[in-house]
Amino acid sequence: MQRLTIVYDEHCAVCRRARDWLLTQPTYVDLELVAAGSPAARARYNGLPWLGRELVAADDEGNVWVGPAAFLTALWATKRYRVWSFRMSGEKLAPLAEAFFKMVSTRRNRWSRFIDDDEEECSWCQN
Amino acid sequence: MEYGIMIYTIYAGVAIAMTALLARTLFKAGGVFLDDVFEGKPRLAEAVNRLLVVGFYMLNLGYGLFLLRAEPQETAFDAVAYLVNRLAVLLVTLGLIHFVNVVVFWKIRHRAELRNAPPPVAPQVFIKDELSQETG
Repeated sequence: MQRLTIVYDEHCAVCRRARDWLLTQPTYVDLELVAAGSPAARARYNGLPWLGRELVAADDEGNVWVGPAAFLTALWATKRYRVWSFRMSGEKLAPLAEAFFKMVSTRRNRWSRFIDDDEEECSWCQN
Repeated sequence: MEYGIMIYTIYAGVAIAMTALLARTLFKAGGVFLDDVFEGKPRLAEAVNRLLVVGFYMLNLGYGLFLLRAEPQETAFDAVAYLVNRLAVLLVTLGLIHFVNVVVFWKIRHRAELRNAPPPVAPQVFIKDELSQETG
């Protein structure tokens, strides 16, 4: 894998915050963050029903991860937290991690109210 | 009769012999580790190994020689007791340093394994992503 594309929900403040954080992280593979509603995402991942509803990660070989698996794969791409992606997918932690990521995903809009909703994009990160 | 010279001679001999033995072990066993880590770069593996061993030599010999400050002892018993005590301190220290070295090797290997590891979970879907095939 040379490149990992993460398709996120651009309408939620938590997700935009997470995207900005992810873009600052050193990674093992090229990381590309694409808004789920953008023309690029729709053109490339048209067949995927989860766009915008669940986190989606796709690599340049056609493999796609959805939901909790996408969270783990995003962590795996980072240098600092790759260790954690393996820990969290181990036997003991995997059910907990899955429940946690599902919770984050379903409550993201509720949590977004607690952050300043600055819908405008920052200048240095891509849409 | 004084035993100072004798203590110094025996101690220095044992310290050098032990450091050399440990360094040889480290060099041989560490080489296997590093060959695995620096796959396809045997010269780099050997260079790293050599640098580690040189550091090990300097640290151990320096510390070993630094450790001994013998006073001339009156009796043979005092002399032997002092010598054994110094050698014991030296051995314990060498052992600790050796384990630190092993941990360093293990960390280097662990990091390399992590870098080459595939994602922790299998992909759920497979798609033909034509656009990324073109640009990538």
